[in-house]
Amino acid sequence: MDLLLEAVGINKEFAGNNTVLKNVSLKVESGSIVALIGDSGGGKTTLCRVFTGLENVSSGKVLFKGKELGCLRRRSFEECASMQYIFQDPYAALEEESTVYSVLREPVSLCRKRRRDYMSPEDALDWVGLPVETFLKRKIKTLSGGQRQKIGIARALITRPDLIVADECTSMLDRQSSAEIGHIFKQLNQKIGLSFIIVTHDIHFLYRVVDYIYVLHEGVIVEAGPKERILNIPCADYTREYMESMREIEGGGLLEPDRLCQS
Amino acid sequence: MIMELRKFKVRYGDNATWFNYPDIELEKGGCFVLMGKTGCGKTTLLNALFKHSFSGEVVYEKAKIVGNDWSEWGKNRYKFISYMPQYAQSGLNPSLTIGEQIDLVKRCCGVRSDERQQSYFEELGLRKEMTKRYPFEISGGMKQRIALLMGFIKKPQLFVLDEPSSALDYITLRKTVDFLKRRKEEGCAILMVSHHRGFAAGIADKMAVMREV
Repeated sequence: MDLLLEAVGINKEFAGNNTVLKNVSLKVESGSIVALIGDSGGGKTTLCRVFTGLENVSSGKVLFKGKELGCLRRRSFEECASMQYIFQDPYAALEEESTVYSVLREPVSLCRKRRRDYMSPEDALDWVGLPVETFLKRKIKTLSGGQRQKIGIARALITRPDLIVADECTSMLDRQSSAEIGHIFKQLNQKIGLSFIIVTHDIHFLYRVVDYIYVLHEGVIVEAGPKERILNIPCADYTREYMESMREIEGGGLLEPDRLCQS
Repeated sequence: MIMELRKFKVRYGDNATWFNYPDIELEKGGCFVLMGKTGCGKTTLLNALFKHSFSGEVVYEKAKIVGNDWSEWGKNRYKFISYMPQYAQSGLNPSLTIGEQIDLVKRCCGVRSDERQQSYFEELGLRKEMTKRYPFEISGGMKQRIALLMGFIKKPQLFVLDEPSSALDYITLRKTVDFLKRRKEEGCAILMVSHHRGFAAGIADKMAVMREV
């Protein structure tokens, strides 16, 4: 498989001697779904922001399709359009008063202006499973969190990207909406070969959606490998603790009937 | 009894559908969790009960909170109740450091000692140096825990939590479950909305799953 994105020795330091990423290197092959897991404050979001150009690196480089990427201002339209970002908070990422159509229309006109091939808003909505006739004219403020996040994905699809970076895009959604989004990602990956970097704490994503996992702890990649290996035979101490906690928390999901009320 | 709710229903606007809620009985040190899909009205219940100004219509047979009828409580209720809304992490003041914000909460609630704050920091796996940072310098999960800590600083009788588990990794989730269990043991009653079954089951004494309207 071709190498789509490569991070080489990335260091990121914020003011006040606050080092968030320490010599981080990772590779994303074309057509793969890579997960970033780890502790909060461990640098996952910063790394995603580095990939998408929202944050500069202190040292190190990001290669996308073999070419070194600069910060957002130095990227070409093609480079920006090929890598799309899905935000964590679907309530903050979309304009409340806009209609679904105007949200999806914006990247279409940008692509037209630059003569880039694009996906129609109707096709994009079709991919995320929202009926065009019901949703195209609706205002964002009338949509639920799950529906808003699907619009966020549809918007990212318009430019026909090669890579989508999704930063905890399901953490604010209920389990069913989250599973639906996992299914959409998997379909996009299998049918059009779209690659993903997903920051997630969702067990469903780890077991059912991703192929490869990087574990980031205090700014360092402590372990990386195919998901089967990381989930079943974690080697690093941090990963072991993470998997133990995951099993303990998720194992508690079954309740005795006398603790469950009827609404 | 800290809270008792019977035949409580809420709606927004004249023609909107009513959200009917399960009866809730919450004792000192107890925890009731409301679950259900996005849009089924979980947050609406918390807004109706605890928001400063709620514009919807409320009908009930009984709604008693910390000894008084719900309608009789004015702003006084915040002396006994803490409410951590959904997306609390975006509610931190961007121009104050974390330490300054915690001090502000302590001053407003008349809490003088640092002891409780220090032990909460340890229990939630937060570093002391964090007090010197601004909200934009720390991660979403850290902000979430800071908001949780601020709510408990005044030792409320009832803590209302709306989706406290979002943005937390599994190790932090486990610490948060232990933290909330300890607060329950100290006598705090918890009313929580969550879509994370495993997390909720770790703390709940009773759970209700709401259907979609």
